[in-house]
Amino acid sequence: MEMDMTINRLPAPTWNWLHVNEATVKGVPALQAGRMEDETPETIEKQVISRDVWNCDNKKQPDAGTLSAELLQIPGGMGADMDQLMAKNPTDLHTWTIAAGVKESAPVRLHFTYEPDAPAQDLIGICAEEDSEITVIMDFRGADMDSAHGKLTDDETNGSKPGNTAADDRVGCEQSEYPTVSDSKLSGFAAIQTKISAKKGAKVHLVQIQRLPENFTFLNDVGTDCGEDALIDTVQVVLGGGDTYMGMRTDLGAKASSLESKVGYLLDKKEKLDLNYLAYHTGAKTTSRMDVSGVLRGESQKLFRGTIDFRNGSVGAKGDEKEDVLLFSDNVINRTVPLILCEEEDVEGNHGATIGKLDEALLFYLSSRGIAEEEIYEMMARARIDAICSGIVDEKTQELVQGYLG
Amino acid sequence: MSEKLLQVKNLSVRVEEKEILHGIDLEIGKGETHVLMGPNGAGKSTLGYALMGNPGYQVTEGQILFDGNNLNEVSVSDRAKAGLFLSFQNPLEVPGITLSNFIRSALEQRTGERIRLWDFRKELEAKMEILQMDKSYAKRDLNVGFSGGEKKKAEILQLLMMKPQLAILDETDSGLDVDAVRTVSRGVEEYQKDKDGSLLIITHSTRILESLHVDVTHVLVNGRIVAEGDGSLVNEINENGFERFEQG
Repeated sequence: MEMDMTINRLPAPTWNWLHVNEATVKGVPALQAGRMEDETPETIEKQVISRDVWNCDNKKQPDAGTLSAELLQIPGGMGADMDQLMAKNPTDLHTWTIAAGVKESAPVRLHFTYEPDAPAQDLIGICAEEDSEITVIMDFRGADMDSAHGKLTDDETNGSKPGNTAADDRVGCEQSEYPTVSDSKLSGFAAIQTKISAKKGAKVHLVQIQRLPENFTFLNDVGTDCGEDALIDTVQVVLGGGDTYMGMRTDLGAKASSLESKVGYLLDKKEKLDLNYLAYHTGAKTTSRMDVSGVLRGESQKLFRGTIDFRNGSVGAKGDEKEDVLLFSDNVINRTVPLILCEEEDVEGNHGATIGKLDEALLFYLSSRGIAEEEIYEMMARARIDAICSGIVDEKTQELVQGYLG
Repeated sequence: MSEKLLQVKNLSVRVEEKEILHGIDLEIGKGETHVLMGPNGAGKSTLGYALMGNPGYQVTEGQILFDGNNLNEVSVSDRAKAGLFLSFQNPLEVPGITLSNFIRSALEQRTGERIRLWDFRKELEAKMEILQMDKSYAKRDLNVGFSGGEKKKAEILQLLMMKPQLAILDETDSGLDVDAVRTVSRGVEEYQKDKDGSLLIITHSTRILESLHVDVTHVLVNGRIVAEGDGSLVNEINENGFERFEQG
């Protein structure tokens, strides 16, 4: 049965006529567990917690003190409707735990492949025990992009061989290594929720690369809990998708806990991106930083809600949010809602935004080196993503993004 | 007289509603070094921008011929591809594009061919050494966080890598200390080693000219060229300033 969702609510609503207080997603279909493959280093413990164990399903709560209880009580940025969506559909909780004191440089790689007409959802948990360090890289892609990685040799859904369908025709052919969004004809719906617990002194690096077809609706929710002196560092890159909704909530409740969040996006045609990022500071000397940077082309739309909430106890806390939006068309819609809430006196909150078209002086400067205007726009679009991706230490992921951009 | 590379004929230029240049005539031969001097506000940079084709500078009369071709309707990037180069007085910061990638992209755009990374790096590092630039600058975003001197060196580095037929240096020596001027001059000398390279040096000081052989000096006052001479005119201006030209 389909459901309607209200997500990405602004913590302090503004005038309704601005249409920024929340996002509504109508007709969300029933979802099945998604198709995910992982590459997990030996030092990291992987668990699959059955839905029967974790899912309250309005009947049973996970046992207190269990990993599932610990992770699932962390709120995400999208709000209660997203939690309900996860609980409503049959999904196991996949968790990755790194033991105290272990610092693993090799990343956990998670490949999510979305099939046509198979609405999917995934529930992920990451737990970093004290003084540990873990990197998790998630790649979200449409099924017909699998040829780039050799993941799909047989079509597992209908038993046909690659090349049997119109979409699969590309699989067996010589193609550029990373198909572009326009290469992909898939449409569909997918949702993912990721819960992260970083204990005292732990570091969690989360990288998410989204390269979905243009007809896709994608819900990507993250909830994080950051312990004393812990760092959660996220890099999210949106390179394709139809309607994308992203939420992230970080609770900085322990002393000197930190969030570094970067989002980069390239939107084109009628693509939409709706973001709700929340940093709740309750611990002393906590820091948060949100960098959102992207390019709007065609008739695309973007709405960024960035909230830094300094609550009682956040003495000496600092929060920054910065946005950089390049508008390549007169038909795009860019909306930004920076929100800084404050209950403490000794805190510092900053917001800065650079929004506009390519500066004429810059255009002249770059043209004067023999670079054609079209190429300059491409360069500048790529530069936005490069700047965001510079925070990704994993070379393979860097190459994946570079290859995708062409 | 050498073969003409640039011929500016009766050029008038307007910026917004104001005419800045009035009937400029200028000829630069291949391999020649010309200096354009004048007091502040004379229109020197305007001429540089107009030659490069800045859309904000409208040519209302006259012609710009480069290698015999009329550039009046030619785009900025095509002028660069034809062999014109403008070193900016205030180079812009370009976050997200490294100095190295920018130069390589520009070279590839100009030639339409891929450049082998190894060859490119080797040449880039050699030129950076001439300019006493730390190699780390190649990996830094173009001009972002560069000091004034580093920005000017980055401009000269681009000049050396792109090897244009005519380089217009717009106040390249302004705001630089003595050592930085010397380094930049070394870069300009390096460019001139290839005698086909022509220079139009826009300046109101003479420090950058000390180590260069100047063929022709033009004095621009109130949008008009009021005097021309050889390199000795530079020395005269150095001693007496622009007063006599302004009175004239």
